[in-house]
Amino acid sequence: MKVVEILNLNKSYKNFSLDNISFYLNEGEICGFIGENGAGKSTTMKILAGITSFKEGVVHIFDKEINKLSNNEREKISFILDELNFPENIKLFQLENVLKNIFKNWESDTFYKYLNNFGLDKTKRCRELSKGMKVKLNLAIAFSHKAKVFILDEPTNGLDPIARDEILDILHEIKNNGGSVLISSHIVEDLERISDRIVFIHAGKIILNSSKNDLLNMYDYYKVDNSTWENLNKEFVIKYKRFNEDYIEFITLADKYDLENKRRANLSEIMILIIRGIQL
Amino acid sequence: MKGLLLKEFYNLRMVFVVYFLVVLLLCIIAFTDGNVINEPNSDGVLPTIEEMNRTGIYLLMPLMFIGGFYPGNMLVSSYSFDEKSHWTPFILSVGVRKSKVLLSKVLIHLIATFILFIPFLISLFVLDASFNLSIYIGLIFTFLASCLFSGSMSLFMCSAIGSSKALVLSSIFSFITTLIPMGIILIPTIMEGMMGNLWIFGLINFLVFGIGMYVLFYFLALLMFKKRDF
Repeated sequence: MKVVEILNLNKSYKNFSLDNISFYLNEGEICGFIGENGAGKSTTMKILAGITSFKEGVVHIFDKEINKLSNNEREKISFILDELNFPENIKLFQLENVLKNIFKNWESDTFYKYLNNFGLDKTKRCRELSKGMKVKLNLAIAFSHKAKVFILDEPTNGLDPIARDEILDILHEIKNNGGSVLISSHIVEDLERISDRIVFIHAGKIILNSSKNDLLNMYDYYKVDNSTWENLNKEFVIKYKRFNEDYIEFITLADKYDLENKRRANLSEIMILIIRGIQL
Repeated sequence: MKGLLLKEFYNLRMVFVVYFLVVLLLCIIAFTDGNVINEPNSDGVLPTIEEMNRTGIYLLMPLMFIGGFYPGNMLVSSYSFDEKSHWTPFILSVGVRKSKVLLSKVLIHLIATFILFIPFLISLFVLDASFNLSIYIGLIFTFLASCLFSGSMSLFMCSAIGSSKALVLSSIFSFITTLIPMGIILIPTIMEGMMGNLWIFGLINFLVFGIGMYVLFYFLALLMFKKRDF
């Protein structure tokens, strides 16, 4: 079942526009949303969170138009920015006081349980939390208002590998409990680890939308020297990139050449070559 | 709404304390000067009632200026805290309406005005018992007009262009929002024959700048706030 569906979404700014964006998020799925800075990830996510307007297209959440969601349905969506959403000077127990008066489905016990699980001290002020702790706090809040759909914009940005791993484990747990996650990140390795599906946006357009396993079996990556490159029949090369004048990197659809260094392209290589590579 | 107001309370309580101390200091000065003006001058002549009233009005001006600055500035601080912490996108994403967010700001502004109004009233009544009622009413209305006028401008600017730009603009506008109502009430004090009608000028201030402008700028702020993307 699709919990989020975007169809032909258009949004224009002065120097940037989202161009006919369409993709979906299934129940119990983790969808990785990748793209370079300024590609349109955050704008799309803010539209999903209902805080940025759009003129053309359809955005459905729980089979309902986003503007027609009731407050109860809205509370089932958790939108987590890459920065903290809460007043810096406020202590965590004070924040709980505020939030329990905002959310209808708030569970104080759940909040304190997760604070405890995540090792967060309720007497600490928000500004005293590390980046990883802030993400955990956001997640504890989302669990406390019984969110089912998690929209996370760069949650692992700036975290050390251990903290990233902890966050990814929590997201996996959300999935196992039937929650759905749309997550954007520059760290494509993270998305490669946890995502079921990858949506790749570039310059406001969706250029890839596929299950992770299909995507990772879709392209081959090669790194060849100049002479191999000169003698190659380049009919199947999708994009290539020169590397230090000594090597050429390129991707093709799977199993098109039988060269020595052939291997399946990972997400990072696909992303870099599609965005920065040259088309023949 | 309770949650939004609680958040404002946690955010702004230090700002409230600082302003309260400033107001307290001004009240103490006003008290002292109020006693001084009842003393005879160097020639041993007591000041006339008109002179005392005029002096009283001038003594209250700092407090009135704060009225044209402090409640509006409280709003700018509130918006500034929200922007810094990305609170607004969060709260809108969970279904709180923009009109409700704006209403919470209005309530904070009214609370700030009320807090300032109490020392203003106290200092006004203690300063000179010989004030006639017309002057009291004129000053009270003018003070409220300044507070509300400055708040409405800050509300509009913060909602339309964000707190960082609004901070500079509202500081400039706080002079205007103070000077216009004060100018209007000073006309009859200069034309001494009209001192008895001071309450009318105060009432005009209140109706035009306090209520009229407040309602107008509230709806403009709502319009701009609804148009803004976060």
